[in-house]
Amino acid sequence: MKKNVAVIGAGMTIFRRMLKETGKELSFLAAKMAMEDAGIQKDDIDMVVMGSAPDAFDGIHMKGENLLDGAAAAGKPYVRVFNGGGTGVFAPIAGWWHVASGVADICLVVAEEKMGNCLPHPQTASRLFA
Amino acid sequence: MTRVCVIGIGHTDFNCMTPDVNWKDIMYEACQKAYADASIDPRKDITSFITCAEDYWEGFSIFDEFVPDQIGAVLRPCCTVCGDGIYGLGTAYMQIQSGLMDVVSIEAHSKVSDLLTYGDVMLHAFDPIYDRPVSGPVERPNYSGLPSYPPENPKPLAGKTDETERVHPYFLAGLEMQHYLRNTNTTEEDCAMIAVKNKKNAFLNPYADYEANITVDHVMKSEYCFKPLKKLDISPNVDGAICFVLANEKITRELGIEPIYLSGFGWCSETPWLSTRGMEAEYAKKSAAMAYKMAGIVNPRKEINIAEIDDRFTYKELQHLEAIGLARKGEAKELLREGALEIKGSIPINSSGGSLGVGNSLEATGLQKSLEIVTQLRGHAGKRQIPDVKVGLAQSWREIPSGSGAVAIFTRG
Repeated sequence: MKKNVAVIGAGMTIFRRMLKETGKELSFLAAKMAMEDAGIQKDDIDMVVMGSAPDAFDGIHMKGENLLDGAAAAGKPYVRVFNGGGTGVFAPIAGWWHVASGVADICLVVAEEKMGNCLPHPQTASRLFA
Repeated sequence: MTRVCVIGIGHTDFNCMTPDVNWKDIMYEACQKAYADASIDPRKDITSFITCAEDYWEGFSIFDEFVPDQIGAVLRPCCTVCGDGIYGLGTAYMQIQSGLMDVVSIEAHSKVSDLLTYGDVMLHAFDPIYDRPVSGPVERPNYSGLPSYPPENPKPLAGKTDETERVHPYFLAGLEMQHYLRNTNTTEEDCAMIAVKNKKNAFLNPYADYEANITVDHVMKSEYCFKPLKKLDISPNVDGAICFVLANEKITRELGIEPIYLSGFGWCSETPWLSTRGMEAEYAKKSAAMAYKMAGIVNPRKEINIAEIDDRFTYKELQHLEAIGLARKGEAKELLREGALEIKGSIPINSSGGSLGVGNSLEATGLQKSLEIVTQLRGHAGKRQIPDVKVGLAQSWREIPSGSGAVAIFTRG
């Protein structure tokens, strides 16, 4: 059963090499912008999808859990998905099938990355466990 | 509306040590078996591949990059779901229901025996500023082996010495257990009975690794690790891999496979903050509600024939039983005491042995529980087969320090 799915709101923070905000706060800023754009409240959202790639960037294991309250997902069905650099494009696809399958009516998709924490350089995250 | 069916299941043996194989080997074995079970060729017939994994457990960044070879996913849609295996099943359900994909492979595994610092990895999941320091000093571990300041009664996981000065994160389970016992008038002996039951059930499960003929007395005399949690209250870790293949009903019938339906799923996350988190397994309650609604289950106590409930710690089985509505608050211990949760009881729980009997397989736990339900529904459970099961429930928790969990409901016919 394929339902037609619409994007009803979007928001985006600035992108910087190093921001003072935590990943949680960045998620909040973007989610808030998107919800205001769509004219909906937190309670209107059925399910939340978070797209965020390696935990090693943040130094937090299961970082999807850590980010979830910033993404309006506390107390809701919430899943974090990723596939590396493709996550930014993939997360809305995951949001799409949440709605197209009929399981959710309104799904919030947040894509977040906080690479500034990773010292000396985020590129080392791929070798962090070598 | 198409229905989603389980067409193939495959798994490795579960072992506490697997020095002869690496993580790719166990994934390959589980997936090969599942594809053979479904009589399909992954290179031609499977449209989407999902792995349920967390980078830190695997020791790699972007774990899904290293996955395609051994699961047949090279040049195919493949993604990581950071969650328990049931999250993967639900994702596959949505992929199929939306019409995007026809046949989906879901894989989850544990190679936790590779980890040297299981407790410390788990500690990395705590919020770094507010919650991690509760375990103790969080400076870099002292690689010289000499303590930098006098250790103050380090509390290791029993049976394993830990040279750091941090308290193992399982202390959180000890705290929650105190809360549960007090609020429901459940005793430590009741919790011990769960360990006895599940480890005994594990004898009937060929792939379980921690089968044991113990008594309540054995559990009560095992040492306190995180009071009131004792050593035998805690599931020991285990390695293993499981693969499921789901498909829409049309393809299932074309393959001539008797459908076992994934009729409902649900998941939910509570706040990640430990300081404001509830201790009532609200995540289990909400996930179950979502799954019941999807599966059209109105009276779970009457309609669910068999359940696999997360029992990473003994008290968790009782707490989850009440949270998902199979027992009223405080009633779980009554059901346990009258034998209702045994294999021959009115609502068999954890006939596979659960995590206490099989072992704690990290994010593969939900798939291990689903594996048991589907095996039972197919009538392939051998000595532990429960007669006339039609509706089964698998429930899992993402373990400390998360407040997240998922539920899957399977039905036959």
